[in-house]
Amino acid sequence: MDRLPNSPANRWPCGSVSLVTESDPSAHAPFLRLYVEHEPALRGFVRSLVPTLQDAQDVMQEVALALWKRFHTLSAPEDFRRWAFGVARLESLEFLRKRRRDRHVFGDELFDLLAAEAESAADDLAEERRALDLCLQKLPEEQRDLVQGCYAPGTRIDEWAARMGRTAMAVYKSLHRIRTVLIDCAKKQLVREGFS
Amino acid sequence: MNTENGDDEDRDLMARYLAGMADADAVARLESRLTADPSLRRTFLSHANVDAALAASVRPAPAILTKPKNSGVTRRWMPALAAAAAVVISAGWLWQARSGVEVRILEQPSLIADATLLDRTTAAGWAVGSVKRLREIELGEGSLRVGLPSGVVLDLVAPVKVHLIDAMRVRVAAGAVTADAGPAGAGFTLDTPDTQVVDLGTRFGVNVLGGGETDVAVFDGKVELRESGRAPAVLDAGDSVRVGGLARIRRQALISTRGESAFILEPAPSDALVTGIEDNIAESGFHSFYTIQRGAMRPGVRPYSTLGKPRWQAAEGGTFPEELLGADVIGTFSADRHEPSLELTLTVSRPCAVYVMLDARGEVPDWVRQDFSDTGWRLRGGPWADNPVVRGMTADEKGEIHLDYAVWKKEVDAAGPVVLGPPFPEGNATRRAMYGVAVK
Repeated sequence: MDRLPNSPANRWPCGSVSLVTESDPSAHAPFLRLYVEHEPALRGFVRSLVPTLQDAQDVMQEVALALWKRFHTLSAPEDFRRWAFGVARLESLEFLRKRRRDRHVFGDELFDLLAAEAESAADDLAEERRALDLCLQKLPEEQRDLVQGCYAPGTRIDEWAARMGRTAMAVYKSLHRIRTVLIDCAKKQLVREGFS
Repeated sequence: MNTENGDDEDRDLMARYLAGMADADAVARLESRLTADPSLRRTFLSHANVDAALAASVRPAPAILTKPKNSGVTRRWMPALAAAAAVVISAGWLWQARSGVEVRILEQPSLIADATLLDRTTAAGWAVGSVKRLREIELGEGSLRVGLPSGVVLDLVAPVKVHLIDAMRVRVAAGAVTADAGPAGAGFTLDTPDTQVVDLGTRFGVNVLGGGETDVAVFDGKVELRESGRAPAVLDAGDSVRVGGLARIRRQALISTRGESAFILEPAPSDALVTGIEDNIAESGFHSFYTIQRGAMRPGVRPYSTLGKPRWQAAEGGTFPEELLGADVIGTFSADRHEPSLELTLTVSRPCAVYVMLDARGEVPDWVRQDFSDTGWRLRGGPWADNPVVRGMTADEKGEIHLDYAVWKKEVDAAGPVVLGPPFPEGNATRRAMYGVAVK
């Protein structure tokens, strides 16, 4: 009987979908799907380990390349997040070690604490990101404009602040307050949705 | 543990650190406080998380694509580049959710009398090609086709209510939505109250029924069903399941569809003539669906649930039987022709006529001879693509192969089950087509 080839044995994650070997073109789709799914969590994770957004950006470059390079070593797709967090942790550590001479960064003990707790809180943090959509809509227009202006492509906060007649630190503190508002809003939203 | 002054200092230290403006002393003080205070660390993680999400939502990350040291990347890195590009694209969508998602109207809504829209636009403003920023669409009547910035095309059939989260995620609160994700839409997700349906390069639909149940049907490619705490399940083209209830995922053998070039999922009407289909195939993991296109019988309609090309046509040199026009078309699937003990049970809600269209090349099964009468009408089905069913046949002058079908009819005088048998009980079905079914 020529039924459609949909027996459980052929289905991911039941074991037979191969993640193929390094640089095998057929690995593109599974890799892309997993990477896109977990990239926001990885980005947040890396951001918690390095001092600036640009640092996180740089580390994420290395993380993406390292993940693809070693993708063939992943035994099962459901292990991707744990594996990717491990790679991201190592890449972040490497980044910080290279910069310790000229940058003020956290020591190893706190780095390890943050890495462990960011990974264990990844699901909660993902829910907070999801609830963020709604919370952004609730911000007063002035705060929305500030967020949009400061996070816009190519914006330098110091230049933006100067145009607004403010100091960079004042703007950063305003952004921090807005993030606090957004975090509180997201948590309340999740409680309303029954997630907390 | 924090005092008010401590809170102020913590906020100041975190703001400085996350801005990259903390000096050695500030980093040391923050490090000391974070190491000592788990709740402060959790707050710090939330700030980093939100900071990264906001940055990704509006800042096209230059990662990989613009870094000079990667300028010599070879093809082996292309998936990573593509991943980064996809991230850049998806990043922008998060921000759009702040004030809705831009959708392009691809097909003028047939009716939007009860549409709840962000901009409260009236029907007159819904010209094909116009772009609107919407957070929510609720259709009380009619249907609507829209394109998202991700290239995903959505068909909504009333009654339906959706929330547009971003260009790659739509939450279906109620009703039927079909998504054509296209090549750029891999990963597109339809959230329902009962499951997440993630596109793996495909065309698929969901019908949120309420009461904790959702139907999911895949017309092309694959999707992954994700439920919290459960292993994902993959559905292939031609599969349909109902999610919810005690048996979390089970086959849903009949789906209601419309559309000519591609199927669009629609809710079943309350006065449906055919209310269900069951077969006697009980294989584990078997989820193939039959389709019903209600009132759709006419030249050009699809006879099968999964074969894309063939269409019902009038017999060569003849006319389409008038009595068949407007009948409900049951789309069977081709693999059923190999089942020598097939039992296909339709449930009808009132007296009707059931028509079976048999491949004219084959023997007429006994169950047809006993219960049905030969109408003498003939239909053509085609064109057929390269398929064992037509292998060895000669194409016509247009290069197409069509099959002739004989139409048999049974009058059903009461509501209840109508059992159809196998098309080829003696086997040898490889070079024969599965029968078609219509009900009126």
